[in-house]
Amino acid sequence: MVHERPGRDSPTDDLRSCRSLAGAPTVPLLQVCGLSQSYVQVHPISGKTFSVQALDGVDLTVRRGSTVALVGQSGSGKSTLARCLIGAEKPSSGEILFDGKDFLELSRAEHASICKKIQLIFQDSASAFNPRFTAAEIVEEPLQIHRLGCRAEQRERGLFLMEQVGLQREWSEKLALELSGGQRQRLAIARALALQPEVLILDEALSGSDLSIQAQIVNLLVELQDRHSLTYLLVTHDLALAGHLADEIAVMCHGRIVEQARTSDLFTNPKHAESRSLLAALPVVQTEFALLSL
Amino acid sequence: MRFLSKRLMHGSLLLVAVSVFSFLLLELAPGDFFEEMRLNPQISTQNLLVLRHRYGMDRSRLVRYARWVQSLVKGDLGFSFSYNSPVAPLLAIRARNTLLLTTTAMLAAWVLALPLGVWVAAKPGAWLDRLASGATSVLLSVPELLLALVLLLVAVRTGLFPTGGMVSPQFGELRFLYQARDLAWHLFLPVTILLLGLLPALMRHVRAAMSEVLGSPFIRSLHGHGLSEQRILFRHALPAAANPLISLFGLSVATLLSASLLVEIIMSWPGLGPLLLEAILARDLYLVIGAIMISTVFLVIGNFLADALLYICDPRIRVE
Amino acid sequence: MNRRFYFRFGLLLLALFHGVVLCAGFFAPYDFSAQNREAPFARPTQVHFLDARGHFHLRPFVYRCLDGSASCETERSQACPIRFLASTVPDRLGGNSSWHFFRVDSPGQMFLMGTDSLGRDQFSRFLYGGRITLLAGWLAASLSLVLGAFIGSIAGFYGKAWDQVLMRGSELFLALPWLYLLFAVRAFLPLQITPAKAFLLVVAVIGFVGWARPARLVRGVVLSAKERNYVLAARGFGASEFYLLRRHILPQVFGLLLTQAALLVPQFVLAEVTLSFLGLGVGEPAPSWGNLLASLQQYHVLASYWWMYLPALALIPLFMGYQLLADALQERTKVVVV
Repeated sequence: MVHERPGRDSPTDDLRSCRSLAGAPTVPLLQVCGLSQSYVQVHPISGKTFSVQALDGVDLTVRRGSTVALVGQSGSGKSTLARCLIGAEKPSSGEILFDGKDFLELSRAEHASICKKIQLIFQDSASAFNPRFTAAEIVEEPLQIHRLGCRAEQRERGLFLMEQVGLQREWSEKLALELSGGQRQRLAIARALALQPEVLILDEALSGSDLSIQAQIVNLLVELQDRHSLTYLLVTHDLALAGHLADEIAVMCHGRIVEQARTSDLFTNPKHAESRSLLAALPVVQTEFALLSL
Repeated sequence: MRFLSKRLMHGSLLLVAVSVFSFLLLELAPGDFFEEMRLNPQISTQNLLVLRHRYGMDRSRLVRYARWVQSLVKGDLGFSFSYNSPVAPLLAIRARNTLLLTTTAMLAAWVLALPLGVWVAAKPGAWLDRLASGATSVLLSVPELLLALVLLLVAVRTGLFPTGGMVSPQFGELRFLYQARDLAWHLFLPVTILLLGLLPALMRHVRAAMSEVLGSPFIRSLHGHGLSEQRILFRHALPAAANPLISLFGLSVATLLSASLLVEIIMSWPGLGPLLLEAILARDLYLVIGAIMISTVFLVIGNFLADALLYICDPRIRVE
Repeated sequence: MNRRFYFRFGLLLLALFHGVVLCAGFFAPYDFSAQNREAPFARPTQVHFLDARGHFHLRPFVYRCLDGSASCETERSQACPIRFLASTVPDRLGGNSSWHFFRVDSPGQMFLMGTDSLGRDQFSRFLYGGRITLLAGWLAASLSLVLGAFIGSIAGFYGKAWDQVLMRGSELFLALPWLYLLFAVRAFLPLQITPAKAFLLVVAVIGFVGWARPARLVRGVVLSAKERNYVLAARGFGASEFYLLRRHILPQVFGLLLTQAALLVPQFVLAEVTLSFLGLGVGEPAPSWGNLLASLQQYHVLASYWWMYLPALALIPLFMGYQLLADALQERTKVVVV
């Protein structure tokens, strides 16, 4: 299915057509309609303010169990969108529908329970952990926050999660900083899985690692997706990686989703200028390799 | 320009805040100020009534504050009953003396701290660096109180320097050149004490700022261009370190004012210090407030000078 | 001569000071208010191991003039041995313990740091005064830190309006010269008060005036900690604000507070000494290092009686100790910050 934006209709039309998808026979797990977000920035010395439009009417559909990649250049608004999705930021307008319910309209308690179902994995794994915490404490933290089970049960579940992501039990007493980059990413994934989420947002999570580690993490992610029926939203600037992992790709440019299509369709027949330029920027070998793996 | 006007407004706000603060303290002080005056037989009841009315003691608090600010702006800082004179002329002379002392000390401190700090930063780890670092550590541990007392002792025992005061008794009869020399002779000890108190901290900060700049890539590229060490240090590195150093200057004004307060008292330098102490001991509250407002004015001027210097020296601030 | 050595040395120095001062009653041979009018401004008593005939005694002793004058030749004086760990009947005004580290039998007198104008033993006054001065410094520092941490946390955590208002206030306190500020607040409080009240007053004034710097630093830490990814992650797990403060933000503040304590205590000790020296702090008859030095404001004392300077000299090693401690703490707390 390809979404096209031939011209800008009135905002309400957009929203209505967007929401109509939410009422379709197979309800998409995550539906973003008309999301907008702007920031006010202050020049540090002169004090002048100017506003930056980070998101400009974003429409995105994510189906249950699929992997959607959000690609775009730096500054296109990908991270902002990710942060809005986990509730770290409040967008200025628009809707986020999770399982048909509007995220932003919920009460605090309901919001808290929905929050558990969407988790974010950061790009920089080192900053994602409190430097004073041990690996065990990091993985157990979500359980402690929600007071699930007694200490021993939390400890056991923490160790179980660590094993699932391929970390040895003996490392549970190590400080987060003592682990290598790849191990830290695994730990971040383990922590994210603690509350049994349905959606995992990977915000450039693979960008900082070596290629070999990237490959390992990718394999881990694929395995976990099968095991736990997870839905992934992969935010990345690396189109080749997206091509390898994702079922659908949404191309973002200047705060808007300009094209969302199945991976194979996008690679063979890109419709928007931005998609074309991103594809053109890929080294030829990679494009063909990505196409081969589809 | 916007930067400077913002800083000016900032300074004015500080003055206003201090005036409110002082006024509140005045109000909160136990006992009516005029009670003290009433006990003083030198002031007639008539005068007292006039003063009471002028200060609005019979009106609301806000009116009193307004009247007080009004009189401040007109230059009337109140009345000192212990000196039996308006506060403003008393303060004027003392303020001038304090200004003389502090500006001399400030200049001397910076003139010494800059080259020393730069020199020490240029050769980190050398014997000079370690010596300077040890010396500053020790000096920082010596309280100015002790320094002042010891130097005063030296003056008393050896007679090389005057043991206090600003000018000799026969000052008025001397010719101009001898007047200057007399003043300098009296200035020497207080300035030395202030210098010894301020120099270690300044040197440390200059060294730190310079070290940071010297480690940056553009300095290394200048080495590659073959410029002389001296040129690099003073023509390129020092201006780059100007920003934190000028901020340091702004901060050092406050520390110097505090230090000079104590030193003036010990060395009997006729500045704001001894006046303030006497005023406190005599519960002459308007004099106290007057002295505090004057010191705040000095502070604001000093900080504004620092901001102006920053504006001139740092092109990043001029870009708007 | 590396860092650890300096740190340990500083710690040892401070422990020594504080320990001795804490047990002032044990180390001081006399009560702080016991006067000896017949020996004003007596020099520090010389301690001898060799007597006039050249014999060496293991137990040191002092000479005491038989006719009661302040100084005389050795023939006319009586040797009074110093007894260590001696127990005596408490003086009429009562020392704090009847056990003393050292004591000289009467009529021997031992003034290790000389006496002042009223003949009071300066060494005992130094020890008791140290208690007051150091305690004042510590209490005032604690007050400042608690106040500063509280205000800084609120400003950093809740941001926006709170932050603006509180930080403007702290700028006011930081910008003004500290001694002027101290004087200002002290000026408006009563002058003739008992030493106990004066002590509390001094602590309150100094502590209250000094909240600004800790507050700004705590605010900085809280602000930066608030934006960290791990706090964001914890929020994403549904953590409450209280949890975030307790588990993630406040532990970072503790390291900062400790370093600040090492920096503030010497400053506040100096502030107390300054205030008492000028007569605005703890007054007679209670001793404090400040008012021990107050008599130096008279020229004849300044010029002739060198032992009156000793309390001020004692401040030097104290400040050095704190400086070493502060440097070491700053090094340590840097390590854990990411």
